[in-house]
Amino acid sequence: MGQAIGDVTVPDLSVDIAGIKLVNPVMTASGTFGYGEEFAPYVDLNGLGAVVVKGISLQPKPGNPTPRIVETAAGMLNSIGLQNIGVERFVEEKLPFLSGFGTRVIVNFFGDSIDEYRELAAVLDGADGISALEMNISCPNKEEGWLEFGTRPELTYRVVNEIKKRLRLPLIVKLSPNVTDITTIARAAEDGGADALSLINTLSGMAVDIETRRARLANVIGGLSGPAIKPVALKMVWQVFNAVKLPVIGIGGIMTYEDALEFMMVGASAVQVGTANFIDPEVSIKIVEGMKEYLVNKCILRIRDLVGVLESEYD
Amino acid sequence: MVARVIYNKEVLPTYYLLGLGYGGRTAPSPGQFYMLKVNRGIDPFLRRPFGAYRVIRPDNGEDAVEILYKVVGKGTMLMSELCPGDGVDLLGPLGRGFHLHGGRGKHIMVAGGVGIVPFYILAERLICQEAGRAVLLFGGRGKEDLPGLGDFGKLGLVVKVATDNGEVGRRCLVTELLADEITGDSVVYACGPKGMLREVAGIAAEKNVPCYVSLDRVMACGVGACLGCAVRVALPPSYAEHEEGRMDVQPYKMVCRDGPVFDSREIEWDKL
Ligand SMILES: Cc1cc2nc3c(=O)[nH]c(=O)nc-3n(C[C@H](O)[C@H](O)[C@H](O)COP(=O)(O)OP(=O)(O)OC[C@H]3O[C@@H](n4cnc5c(N)ncnc54)[C@H](O)[C@@H]3O)c2cc1C
Ligand SMILES: Cc1cc2nc3c(=O)[nH]c(=O)nc-3n(C[C@H](O)[C@H](O)[C@H](O)COP(=O)(O)O)c2cc1C
Ligand code: FES
Repeated sequence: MGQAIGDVTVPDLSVDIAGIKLVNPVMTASGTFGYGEEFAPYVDLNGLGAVVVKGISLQPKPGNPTPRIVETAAGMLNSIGLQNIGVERFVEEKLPFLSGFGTRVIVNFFGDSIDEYRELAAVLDGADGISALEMNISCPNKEEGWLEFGTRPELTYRVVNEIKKRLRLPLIVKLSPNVTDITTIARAAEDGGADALSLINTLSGMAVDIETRRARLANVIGGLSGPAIKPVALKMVWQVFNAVKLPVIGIGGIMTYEDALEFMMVGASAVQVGTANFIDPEVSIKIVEGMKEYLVNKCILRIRDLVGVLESEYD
Repeated sequence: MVARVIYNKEVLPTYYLLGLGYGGRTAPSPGQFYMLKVNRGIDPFLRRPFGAYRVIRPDNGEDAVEILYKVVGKGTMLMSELCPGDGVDLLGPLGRGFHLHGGRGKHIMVAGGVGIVPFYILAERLICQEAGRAVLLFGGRGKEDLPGLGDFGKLGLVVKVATDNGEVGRRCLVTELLADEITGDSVVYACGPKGMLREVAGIAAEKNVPCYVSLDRVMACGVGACLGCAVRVALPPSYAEHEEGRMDVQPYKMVCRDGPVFDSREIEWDKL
């Protein structure tokens, strides 16, 4: 017999995002899980809701000078510089391996002009084995004085709209937290035609070595991730959930199932686990297990019943 | 992946030997490493990389993999407090280690301080495969900076020591020992501080002999996923002029996945 409807011992963990069904709401975040193959020896990819791959660009990118990473309080800074092998090699060499698993494959992509985003999205749209695209808009636009797409509502609207109108695959737009008001960007992405929003990308930051008086990253500035950013991420997910109608994917410092449930309660329909993969390759699977147990203990039938349940009253 | 601590003893001031229950694990090859998580909390946050020093198989008692480490900061300080029975989460063995370079008359291992770690297993292999003469050149500041020295004597290979203060061996740099030792049919394997490695690579290049170096980089994932532990590689000369334009060539390799051992000619030493 299949799963009995209403059986509290077998809670339903599946969620729908942007028109695709995930077996559970836990995905691995872009840039923290490579192309899946790096972690495959240590974790059963079939147990993941989806794998979001390292950001892909039209041409390969060499990445930034080193040092590129540094540990900070409850987190880390990185300035990898979006190093990647380019879309051609990705589709030829990496995608076939990943699509051999029972998990969804979501491809994170970026560009430095609307043309590049468009050309890249077209290539990915024609490839087999991809369930959705995640558009990273925390990238400088060479046509607008290197302003980041994701920091101006008009730029966000334009790039999302240009890509979406030609796209067959569902489009998730990944938001940058390094803005004055994330809800205006979220609305611009919604108006542009996004099918879902994911947030947050890393928070901009830096660290200094007082012995050498140098920044600890060769690029000086990097992106902060890990538990240190979780409260900020939660707040932003809550704000965006209340500002748009689109499904939201919560990201930022998730290490445990409790963290993941916090995100769902403030409005995330699903979550992505990033930096925590480095500490424990199996963390996502453990989070799924923890969610299941929580639902059983609380006699909740469906994980999606927890989305946005945040209470506003205090007795 | 949790291993039990069998022993954790101070072998020299600030140097410790950690024996971990080995169980049925994959045997590490020379130069491979593990990513260790010694604490439960988030401070320190990331795992730390440590080489496999030895695998011990006592007649009575448990097989152990040994980690030889120097206390330099938060993580290694916590490691030094581990007690028998404690659990340590270990990922690995990881990376590509030293491969034995066949057809050479002399195998010279050059170690600086805690850079000795990969050479015990390598020396065992060299001896077991009768791969030619094996020589270990070991450098440190003084006698308290030569961890594991006694272990190598028992292996029965030639060991020559250099110290800054002359307490043991010759009072010189280990690279000076290398300059005396190196022959045209040698192969050189090196692990230690950056300056030493650069010097070793230079000496080997002058003699035109193969040289393999084990590099040290701060790591996050250890499996090639985060692209954090990058090292700049020398591009083929034909690419050098317009390298940034030639995007089909990747100017960085990952120490955790492509290394930690590299052919010394591959490394862009000025940018290390
Ligand atoms: C492949 C590989 C194998 C290694 N094998 C061994 C080994 O067998 N035994 C051993 O003792 N050490 C080894 N190391 C180095 C070891 O990983 C670091 O000493 C350790 O991560 C320091 O952690 P910590 O928390 O004590 O220091 P932290 O508190 O993180 O830092 C303290 C000081 O150490 C420096 N430091 C931090 N990380 C490194 C690093 N990776 N290399 C050098 N200095 C660092 C910092 O700049 C700082 O000055 C290896 C490193 C690599 C990459
Ligand atoms: C090393 C590293 C590389 C990353 N690379 C990308 C990337 O290529 N594209 C992207 O959209 N986000 C990238 N991110 C951001 C993560 O996907 C995620 O949004 C962020 O790290 C916050 O989540 P976390 O705290 O769980 O790590 C990267 C993060 C890290 C730590
Ligand atoms: S440590 Fe992550 S790629 Fe090497």
